[in-house]
Amino acid sequence: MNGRSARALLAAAAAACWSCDKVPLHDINASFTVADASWFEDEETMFVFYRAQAEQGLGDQSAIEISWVTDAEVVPWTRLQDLPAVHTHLPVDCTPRGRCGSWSVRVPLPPRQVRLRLRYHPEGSLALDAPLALNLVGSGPAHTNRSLLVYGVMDATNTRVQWRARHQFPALRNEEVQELGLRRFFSVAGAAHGDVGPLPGDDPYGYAFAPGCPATLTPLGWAAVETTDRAIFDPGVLPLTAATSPAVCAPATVTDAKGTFTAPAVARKNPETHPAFPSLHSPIRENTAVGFLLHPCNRTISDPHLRMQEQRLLLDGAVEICLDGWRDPGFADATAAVIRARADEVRAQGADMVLTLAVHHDVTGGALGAVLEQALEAALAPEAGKSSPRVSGAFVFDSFAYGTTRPVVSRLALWCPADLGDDLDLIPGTSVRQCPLLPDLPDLTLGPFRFGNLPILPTRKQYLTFINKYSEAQAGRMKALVFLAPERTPLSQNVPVEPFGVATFFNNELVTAQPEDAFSYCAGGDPLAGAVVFRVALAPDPLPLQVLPQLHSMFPQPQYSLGLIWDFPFLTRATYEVVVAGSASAFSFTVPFGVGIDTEAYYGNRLWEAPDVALSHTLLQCTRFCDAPTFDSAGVYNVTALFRPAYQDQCYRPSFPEPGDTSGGFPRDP
Amino acid sequence: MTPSGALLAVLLAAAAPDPAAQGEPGEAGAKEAGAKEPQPPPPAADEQALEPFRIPVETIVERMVGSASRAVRFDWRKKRVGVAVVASDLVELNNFSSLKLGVSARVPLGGFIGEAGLSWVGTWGSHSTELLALTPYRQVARPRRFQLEANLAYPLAEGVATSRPGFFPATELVFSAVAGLRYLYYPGSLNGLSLREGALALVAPLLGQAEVDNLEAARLPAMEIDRARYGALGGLSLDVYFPPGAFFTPRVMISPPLLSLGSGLGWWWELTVSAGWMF
Repeated sequence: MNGRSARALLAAAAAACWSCDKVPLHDINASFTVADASWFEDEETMFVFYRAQAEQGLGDQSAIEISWVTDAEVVPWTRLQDLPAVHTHLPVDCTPRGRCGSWSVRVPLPPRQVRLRLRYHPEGSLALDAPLALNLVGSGPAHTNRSLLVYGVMDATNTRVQWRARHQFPALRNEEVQELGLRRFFSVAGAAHGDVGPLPGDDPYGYAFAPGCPATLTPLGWAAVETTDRAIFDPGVLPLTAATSPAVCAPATVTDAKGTFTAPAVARKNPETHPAFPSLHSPIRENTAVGFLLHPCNRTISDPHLRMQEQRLLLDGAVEICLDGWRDPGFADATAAVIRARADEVRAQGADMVLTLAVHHDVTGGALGAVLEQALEAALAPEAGKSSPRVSGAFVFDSFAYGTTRPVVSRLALWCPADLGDDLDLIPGTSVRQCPLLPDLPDLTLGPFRFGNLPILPTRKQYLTFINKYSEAQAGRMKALVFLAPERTPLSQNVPVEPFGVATFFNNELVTAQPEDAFSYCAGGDPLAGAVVFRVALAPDPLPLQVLPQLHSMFPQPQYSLGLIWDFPFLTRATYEVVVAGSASAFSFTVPFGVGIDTEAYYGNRLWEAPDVALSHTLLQCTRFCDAPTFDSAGVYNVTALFRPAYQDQCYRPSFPEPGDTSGGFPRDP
Repeated sequence: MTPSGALLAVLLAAAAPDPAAQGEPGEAGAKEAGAKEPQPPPPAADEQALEPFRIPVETIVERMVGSASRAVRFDWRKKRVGVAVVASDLVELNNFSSLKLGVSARVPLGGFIGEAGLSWVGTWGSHSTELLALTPYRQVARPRRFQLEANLAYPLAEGVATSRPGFFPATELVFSAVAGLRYLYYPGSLNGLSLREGALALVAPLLGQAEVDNLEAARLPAMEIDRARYGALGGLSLDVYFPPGAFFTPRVMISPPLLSLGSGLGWWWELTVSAGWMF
């Protein structure tokens, strides 16, 4: 063997000896995460709860041991399960790496030096001492100084009672105690219904609020129920005669080391609520379009543009108004008179109307627009307060972009194309904001191909430029123009709301309420509920619906009128064909082509799209038991969250217990 | 070249006349060439430089005799498959004992021998583990289990040997280096796992916590379950073949920690004896 081979063998031997120790021993690193002992003087019972964990599995032989000292006895280390249990304790699966559970033993006198430990093996002497927390609960009121209280809740119909037990420990929560295996027996017998009166402020569940249930209650004759679960439904059903009774009271018996303890338990009815006004119904009618064509009668400006305006408004048989004398002082009044006359003719047919005006002119600067505004104001203003049939508003298709200046016209007329001005924050309202000026698709150029489309309501300059570039056939066309507006009754009232809105109270829609009633407003409960306002006799100005619960709480009113707030009186649904126009330029020839696309657009107020504004999820009215505790959407009984104060500005979506529900005898009760 | 062909070539090379010993090669060549110009004699070989590379014919024959004679008694390379029963003592450096019983099949693969097998491994505690169970300490070990095994052996030396007692036929001995893989399956470890979780766990290199929890009942007192699912071993084996096909194989294999991912066992050995028949 040469030197190189010898060195290789030596290195291999060294490598072989690396990590060739015996397999080491590892500590399981056991520890307690819960070690709690609570002693209740009135029950002479000490409860022990523990939860021990180890990184590696605890053997089957590992056990929890306890020892304590009182003035009368010394209890040496004893396996917990070897002590007689006062209550039922179920074995708890804490995975092979844990030991957890609970136990209860009778200890008549206050315990001292209570110690708890995990003994690794009964035959071994090694153990892990627990950092035990000991709580001593002296004698006192049952609802605070006993380890268990009993209360009742009602189902959604307020006719079935579920009796519940709730663990009360100084350092552990109700459901945690249940998870650690403690089960308490309780029984309820001799239920009676009626008014138990006000409960003590520090006893929200009403457990043991008195030595017994008031003698004034009416016995129900129900059979006794008992369980070791945390809850059980009473099979009895409240009779109709108990409909006005706010509560059911019954003596509840629990066990302890001394025997039994009986105290009254109370089940209070849930707040009786219903949608205060399920739906604000306002019939939406299709309005008749009353067409007018305003143009110079003595000269021609642009035939293609005039044809386009007539087509866009679908003017057929429209009343023609000559604009040649628009500078005359009486032109506005004369025009208004023509409009009124025509409107009165159509009114006889019984339908609401929308004026459609195509204004064909070449007067720049807005002077003609101002005159027409004056005429429209004179024609529309008297109509706003009329009952149907009436003129709902006007749709003006101008030759130039124009911005309205008169508030009445801005509120009642859709003037297209609109001049939005330079400051977008100053756009006055829906009528101007929604009038389209932009094309549906942006222009696109690909080599010799060019694509574009025209807004359906263009200015004359836009239109003429477009048809020069493409063709008149590709400018699109209006296929249908539908105007929808609410029907007004003779009782309908308009209340102006600054700066641009109007609140309309259509037909005496009222919410009536008793002073003891309570309301709950749920923001976002219904999509259009924000448009609903109310007013009361004391304050005729419309108020937002969300303040109604507070208002009724402070200044109860017998009735509240409901109305809709709007900023434009009708909705225009335009169905038109927009053409994606294309042209190909080659060898100095331009060949136009296009693809038509049916499009639908809405101008105006979408509030008038459907006849109903749902309020069923927005405004709830409680008419009975409004000061009772409430369930939340998770089914938790919030005993201190009374409906009246807690849900004025919150959504009330309770989840009530039901017989046979998935929680069984263990409802969610943290 | 076959072994017999190699031996024949060696013998022919040894029997060939040494050109240097026959002398006058240039003269004979001149006679054959006739009118050709006489060539200058080639330079004399540097005998001193060649000397370290010269190997005596006897040495060459000695080296090749194994290859040439290995198929004389039993040629395992010409067999199709062999089956065997296997028994092993798993020597781990802890206080637990493990024995393995199983079956295997071996197949000649060119110059290698491939093996696949399935075994059951039983594990027992000891008095030491009983005492250890009284304490909060644990020692890494592996509960009872099934093992899937694969080995690949490379013959290092082969030969024919006379066996005792005399009525046994002459045997073929094959001494091999062996590399092996082990896949451990613990019955019950997948209880409660979904199909997807179970499928993923089957190929994971380490046992998951749910598997370890499931094995709590199978765990011996004081045992900390080793989480490695795979093992790699290397070692040596001696195959003793008896014509017409019986064989007996003692084998020693060792598992270095570096090749056992996630294992806390350190070094451990597998002492195996197998017996079977080649078909």
